[in-house]
Amino acid sequence: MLAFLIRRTVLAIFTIFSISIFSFMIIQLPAGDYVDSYILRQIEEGFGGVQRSSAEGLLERKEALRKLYGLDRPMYIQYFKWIGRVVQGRFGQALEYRLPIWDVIKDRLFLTIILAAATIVFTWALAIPIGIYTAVKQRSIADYSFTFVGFLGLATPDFLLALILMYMAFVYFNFSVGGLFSPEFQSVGWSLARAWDLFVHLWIPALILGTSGTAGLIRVMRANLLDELRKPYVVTARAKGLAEWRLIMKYPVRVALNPLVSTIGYLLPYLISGSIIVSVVLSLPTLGPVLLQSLFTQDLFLASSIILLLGVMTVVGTLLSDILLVIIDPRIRIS
Amino acid sequence: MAAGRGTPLISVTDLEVHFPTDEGLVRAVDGVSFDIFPGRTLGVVGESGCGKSTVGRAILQILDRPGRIVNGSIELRLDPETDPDDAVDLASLGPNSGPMRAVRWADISLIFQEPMTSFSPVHTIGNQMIEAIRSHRGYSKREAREWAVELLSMVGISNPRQRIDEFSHQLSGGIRQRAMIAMAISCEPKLLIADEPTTALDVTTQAQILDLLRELQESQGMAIMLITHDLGVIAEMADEVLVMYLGRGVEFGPSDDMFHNPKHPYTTSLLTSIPSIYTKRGERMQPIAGSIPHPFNRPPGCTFNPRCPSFMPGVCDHDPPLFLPLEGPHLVRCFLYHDAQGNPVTAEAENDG
Amino acid sequence: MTEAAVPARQVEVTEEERVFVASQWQLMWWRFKKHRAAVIAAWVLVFLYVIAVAAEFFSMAHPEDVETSIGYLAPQTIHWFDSGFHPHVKAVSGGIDPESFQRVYETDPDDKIPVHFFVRGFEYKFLGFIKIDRHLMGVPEGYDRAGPYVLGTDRLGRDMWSRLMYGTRVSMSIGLVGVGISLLLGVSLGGVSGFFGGITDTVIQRLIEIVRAVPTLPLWMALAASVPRDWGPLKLYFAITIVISLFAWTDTARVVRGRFLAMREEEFVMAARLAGASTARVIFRHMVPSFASHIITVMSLAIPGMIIAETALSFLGLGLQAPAISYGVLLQAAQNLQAVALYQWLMVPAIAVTVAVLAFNFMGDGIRDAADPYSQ
Ligand SMILES: Nc1ncnc2c1ncn2[C@@H]1O[C@H](COP(=O)(O)OP(=O)(O)OP(=O)(O)O)[C@@H](O)[C@H]1O
Ligand SMILES: [Mg+2]
Repeated sequence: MLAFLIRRTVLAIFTIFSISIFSFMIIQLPAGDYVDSYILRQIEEGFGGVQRSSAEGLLERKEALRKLYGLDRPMYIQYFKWIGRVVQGRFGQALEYRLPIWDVIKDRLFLTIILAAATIVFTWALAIPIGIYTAVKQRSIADYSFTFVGFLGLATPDFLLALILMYMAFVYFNFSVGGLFSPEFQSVGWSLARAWDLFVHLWIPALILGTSGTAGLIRVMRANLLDELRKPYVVTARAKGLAEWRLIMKYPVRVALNPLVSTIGYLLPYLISGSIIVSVVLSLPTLGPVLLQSLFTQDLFLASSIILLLGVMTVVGTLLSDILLVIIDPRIRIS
Repeated sequence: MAAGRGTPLISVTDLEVHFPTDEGLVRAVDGVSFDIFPGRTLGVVGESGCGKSTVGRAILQILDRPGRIVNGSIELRLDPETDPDDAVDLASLGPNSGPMRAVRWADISLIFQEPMTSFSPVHTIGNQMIEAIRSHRGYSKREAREWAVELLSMVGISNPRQRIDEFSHQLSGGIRQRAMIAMAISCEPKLLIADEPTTALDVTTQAQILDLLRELQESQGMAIMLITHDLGVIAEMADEVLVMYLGRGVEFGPSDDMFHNPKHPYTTSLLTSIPSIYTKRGERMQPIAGSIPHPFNRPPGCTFNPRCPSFMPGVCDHDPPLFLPLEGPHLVRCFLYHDAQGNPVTAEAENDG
Repeated sequence: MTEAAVPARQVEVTEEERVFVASQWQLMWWRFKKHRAAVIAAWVLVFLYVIAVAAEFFSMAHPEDVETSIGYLAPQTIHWFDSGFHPHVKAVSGGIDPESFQRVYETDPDDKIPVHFFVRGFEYKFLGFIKIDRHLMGVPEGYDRAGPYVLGTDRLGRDMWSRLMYGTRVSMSIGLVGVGISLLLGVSLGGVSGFFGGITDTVIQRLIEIVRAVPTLPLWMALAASVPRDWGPLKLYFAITIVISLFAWTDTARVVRGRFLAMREEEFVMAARLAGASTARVIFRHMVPSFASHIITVMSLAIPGMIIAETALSFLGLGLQAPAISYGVLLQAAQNLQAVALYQWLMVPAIAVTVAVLAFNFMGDGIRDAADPYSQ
C-alpha cells in the first residue's frame, strides 16, 4: 500500500513537472510574444492616428521592453528562472494587469476549486441513486427515461447548455444568470452572508458543469451494478434470506462504488476543462476568463501560471481520490 | 417411497422454469421430478446447460432475472419423520416473501462452484458469516462470532480466530470453499445444495472437500443435493441419482440401480462414455455422439431422439415421453418403457426396440 | 521445398481469418440493425453528411452575400399553396425603428415572391469539379432578393440557412478528419506500445497517463491561440483540426494497445510470424483487421467530442475565424445575450450541434453493443 502511494506521488510530481514544461513551451509557440502584441495594440489603439515616426519609436522601445521582461534570454533559462520563482511561490507580474500574478488569480483559484468540488458533490448526489435505481429496475420505464435524459445530458456541450439556460432565464424570468455573487457581494470581504450568497449562486454553474458528468456517472454506475448483480456473492446473499434492498445496498452497490472513486480522478480534468468555457459564458470569476484573456494578449507568464495551477489542482485531486480508493477497497489495500 | 429411505424431505414434481429473453423463451427446466430424503445425497448429472443449476436455484427461488417457475411444485417437509403431511410448497411462495426468506439458509443452504466469487470481495468472511447467523438466529454479535469461529474449526480451518477477519482473496481456493461450507451449515440446514462444489479445485483438494461434506452429513444429518459433471463423484457420494437432459429429468433412481442397470439410453451412453464406472475422481464426462440441440430449436417428441442409439421413427419424434416409475423407486422418461399414454411397454416390444 | 511450404501456410492463415472476420462483421451488422435508436441516428448522420458534401446545392443564397438592409430578418415561412402548388414567401420591407433602434420589418401579404425547386443561383463546383448553378430551392432569377430566408438572417443580412449548410460541411468534416488524425496517432503509439512492449511501452504509457491526468483544454486552447491568425482558411482549418485531434488520441491508443497485448500471443499472429511475415505486415495485414470493430467503436464515440471541441474553440475565438463558417463560428453571434433574446434564430446552430453529437453518440453506442455485446 505504501509502495502504491509512493508510486502515485512520484508519478504526480513527474506529471506536474511535465505540465509545467509543456505549458511553458506551448506559450512560446506563437509567432509573437507579449511585447509584440502589446506594441501592436498600442499602435492600433492609442497611436492610430499619429504619424509613423512615433510608431517606429515604439518599435525601438520593443527591445528595451523585452530585456526588461527577460524575454530576450534563451527559452530554457526563462523556464528555469520562472519555475525557480514559482516553486518559491512567486509567480511574477501579470503584464496586462500590472499586478502580481498571485493577486490576480488567488481568489479565482479558490472559486475554481469550490466550483469543481460543488460539481463533484452534485454529480455524485444525483448520479449514484439514479444509477442504482436504473440498474435494479433494469428495463423499466424509469430506466429508459433516465437513459434518454442521460444521453441528452452527455450530448449537449456544457457551454451550449449555459447559453440556453442564460437565454431562458433572461427571456422568461428577466433575470441574468451569471457570476457567482450578487452585485452587493461582488467585491467585499468574506463573511457568512457572502458565503451563503456564493452557495446560492453556485448550483446553476454546478448543474451546467455537472450534467455530462452526471449522465456519464449514471451509466457507469448502472453498468457496474448490473455486472455485480449477476455475481455469485449476490446470489449467496440472497440465498441467506436477506431482504432484497438491504442485500443490494450492502454487497453489489458497495462493490460497484469502489471503482467509481477512481473516476473522481478521471472526472477532474474534464471538469476543469469544462469550467473554463462555462465560466467564460457565464462570466464566472474563476480562472477560465483570465486564461482566455491572457491567451489573447499572449501574457506568457500569466497563462502558464494558470495552466500550471489547473494542472496541479487536478493532479492533487486525482491523488486524493487514489488514496481514498486505497482506503475503501481491501483488495488494493492488501496487494 | 422405498423402505429405508422414509418420507422425502423435498419432493419436486413437474418443475418448469422459463427464461423469457429477448431472443426467445428459454425452457431451462422443462419437467423435472425427484425426491430428496433426509440425511441422504442426491446426485444430479447431465451435460452443461441441461438445467442442473437452475433446478437448484429454483428450490431456493433465487433464479436470475428473468427466470420464473411456471409450473410444478416443490414440497418441503420440515419434519418428515414425525409429521409427513406438514409440507409447504416453496414454488407457491413469492421469491421475496418473508416465509421464503425464512426457509433460505435456515432450512436449505447453497454452495457454488466458484468459492472465489461466492464471497463478497469487500467484506470479511466473518462479517458475512455473522450476518447469515444473525438473520436466522437470535444470537448477539458476540455469540454469532463465537459460533462462526467454531464452525470454521469444524470444517478444518486452522487458526479460525485470525481467518475470520480475513477477506476471501486472502484465502486459498480450498480454504475458501471450506469457509463457504462453514457458512452454509451455520444455521444447521436440513438440505445443502452443492452446485459443482469441487470443479474449480485441484484433485487433492477436491477429495478433501468431498470427505468434509460426507463427514458433516454424518454429524449433522443433513441431506445434500450434489450437482456435478463428474460421474466418479456421483458414484462415490450419491444415494440417489437424477439424470437430466435438456431441462428434463430422464432418469431418477437409487444410485446402485442406475450404475448397474441404467434404463434410459442417455444414461447408458453417459456411463459407457467413460472407461470405467467407478472411475477416478476428477474424470470429466466425455461428450456423447452428436451435439446438444440449440435451446430454441428443440427436436419434437423425445428431445434426445437425434442422438439416441435406440431411436424409433414415428414414435420418439412425435409425442414427448412421460416421466414414469419403472420398478419401485426408479423413474424413467423413454418410449422403450412406456407408450405415449403412459402404459407400460411389454417385454417383447422392449427387445424389438 | 520450404519455399513452397511457406506460401501455402500463409494462404491458409488468411483464408481462415477472412471467414472469421466476415462472419464477425455480419454478426455485428445483424446486432446493429436491432438497435433501433442507433439505426435512426445513422440515418440522421447520413443526412448530415449529404448536406456536408452538397452544401452549395442546399444553400438558397450565397453564404457571404451581405445585405445590411435586411439584417436580423426573422425566419420566413414558405407558403406552399396558393390556388395550386405555388410555393412562395411574402415580401418584406423594413428599416430601423427611430426610438428603440431595433429593426422592424413589415410583410406585404400581396407581394408574393415565388420559390422554385432546382433554380439557378450562384455558380459553384459540385464535388469540387462539376461546375453548376442549380440549387435545391430558391427564388428564381428576375427577383432582386435571394432567399427565401427560412432561418432568418444575421446582423449583416446573410442567409442563416445557407450559412448553416456551409457550417455543417466544416464542422462535420472536422470531426472526421480530426478523428482520422487522432486514429493515426493513437494506432501508431498504441500499436508500437503494445507490439514492442518493454521500455517503449512504459514510456508511451506514462505519456498517456500524464495526458489523461491533465485538464487538456487549457493546453489545446493555448496551442490553438498560437496558430497565426493571418493563415489562410485552409491552413487554419488543418491547424485547428490537428489541435482538435489531440483531444481524443489517448482513448484510441489505449484500446489499440490493449488489443495488441492480447493478440500478440494469439495463434494466427504467431502463425503469420512463423511464416516469415514482416512486422509491419503482421500489424497491418493481420492484427489491425481483427480489432477494426473496436477501433470503429472508439472512433464513432470520439467524433462528437471533436465536433464539440471545434465548436467550443471557435466559439471562444480561438478556433476557426470568419470568413470560415462552422457551427462554432456561427455561434459566436450568440455570445451577445441581448441579440439572442431578440433574434432567437441565432441559436439554431446550437440545435445542429446537439443533433449531430446526439446522433454520433447513439450510433456509437449501437456499434459498441454490436461489436461487443458483453460490454456495457
Ligand atoms: N439468466 C439466464 N437467462 C437466460 N437463460 C438462462 C439464464 N440462466 C440460465 N439460462 C439457461 O438455462 C439453461 C440451463 O442453465 P443451467 O445453468 O441451469 O445449466 P447447468 O446444467 O447448470 O450447466 P453447467 O453444467 O454448465 O453449469 C441454459 O440453456 C441456459 O442458457
Ligand atoms: Mg451449473
